[in-house]
Amino acid sequence: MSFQHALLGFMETSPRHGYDLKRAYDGLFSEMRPLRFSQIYAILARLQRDGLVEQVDGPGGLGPDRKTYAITAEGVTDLERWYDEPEAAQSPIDSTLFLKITMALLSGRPADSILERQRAAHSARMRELTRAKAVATTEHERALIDFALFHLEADLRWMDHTAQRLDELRRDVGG
Amino acid sequence: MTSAAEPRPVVVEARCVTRVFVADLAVTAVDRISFTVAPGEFVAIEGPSGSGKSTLLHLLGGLDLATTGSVRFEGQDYAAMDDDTRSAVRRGGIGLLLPVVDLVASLTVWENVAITRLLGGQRLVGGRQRARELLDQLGLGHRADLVAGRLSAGEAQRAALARALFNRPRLLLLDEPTSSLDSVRADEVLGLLRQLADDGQAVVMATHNARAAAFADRSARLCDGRLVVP
Ligand SMILES: Nc1ncnc2c1ncn2[C@@H]1O[C@H](COP(=O)(O)OP(=O)(O)OP(=O)(O)O)[C@@H](O)[C@H]1O
Ligand SMILES: [Mg+2]
Repeated sequence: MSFQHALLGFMETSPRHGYDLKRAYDGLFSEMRPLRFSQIYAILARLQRDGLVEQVDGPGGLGPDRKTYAITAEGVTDLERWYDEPEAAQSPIDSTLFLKITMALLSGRPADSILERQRAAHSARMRELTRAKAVATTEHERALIDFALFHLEADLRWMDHTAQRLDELRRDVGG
Repeated sequence: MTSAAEPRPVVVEARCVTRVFVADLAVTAVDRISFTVAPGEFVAIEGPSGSGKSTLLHLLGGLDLATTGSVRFEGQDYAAMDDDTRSAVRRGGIGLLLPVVDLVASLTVWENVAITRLLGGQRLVGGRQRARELLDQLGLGHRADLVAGRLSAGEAQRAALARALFNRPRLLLLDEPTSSLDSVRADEVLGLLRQLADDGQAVVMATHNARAAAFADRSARLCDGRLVVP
């Protein structure tokens, strides 16, 4: 998750202080992945060190949050490079499920019933999200829920696919 | 009057139903399944290809009869009805959407939607308004006057759904109702089914699609004709 580019993106529209950045981020992404104040300040310090943002005079925030940051020309170049380059088409980082099924087969445990329970948990979550989508009030909210739904669907398809090949897979992993 | 003590009304109930097909060898397509659907319930039937979803749906609609066990529609056992009675019950109470869409290619789309009126000995034109309303709801209002043979697969599927809804059936049975639709259209159709269920419609839908199944209140999962309990 590229917090750095999200923050640069907000600063591209106007200079911000930490509180502004937090509010802008939370408005769009907090449900996806929270970002704490301490993380924001750490990222800003790094961006400043690398010359991608600089401190400018501004209205000033409250309390310790007085510094205003603006994106530099180098920062804009970095951001543009990020938009131009497609993300690496990586497989999901969380492959716990794959690991669990492999280990279950290896140790002679009933992988089919582990898959079946996982399936039920995934289905229940998808029903919950589908209900939430029906009462969502913004397209942004719906798009975020869809993002989760399509990924859960992909997991389920993998489970269905693999459930029909467990015997072969067991032989393969030496279970 | 409904009171708390009154038993929950049931639209369709399968009791330990089994369907064996005998060809070269016997296949138990549906194996001792018990299953109940109440008004306002939206139930998905899931499971791999060949697990018995369509067979169960046919049994619930009286299109096919159980080898053993019973299926009752509003309390009446399909097996105890003669063919004419069973057809009449189906026509009056059940809306059906099968995977192979069989619209009459030479009639207009709205005429296809209202076609059940012909079977009831009524003229089509009296159903024009309702047919158009349904087509509008399914995003097909602009196709109402087109000859059905011209529809795309996804449009034909939605027209067939409108036809299934035309008689305000008490039970809606759908076999892969979104198989020809892209995900945006599928969501619209499923949203409408969800809304119908929230308004009291009983809906049973066989599907391979987990996102579609997530619109239902619950899923019955089949594997080799058996209900899977996780
Ligand atoms: N009329 C029939 N005669 C013989 N066998 C049949 C008949 N209808 C279904 N079967 C068998 O019964 C089993 C269940 O079939 P069914 O069509 O109910 O599966 P399904 O879950 O709907 O599959 P799919 O997802 O592919 O539509 C299959 O093995 C099928 O070959
Ligand atoms: Mg089928």
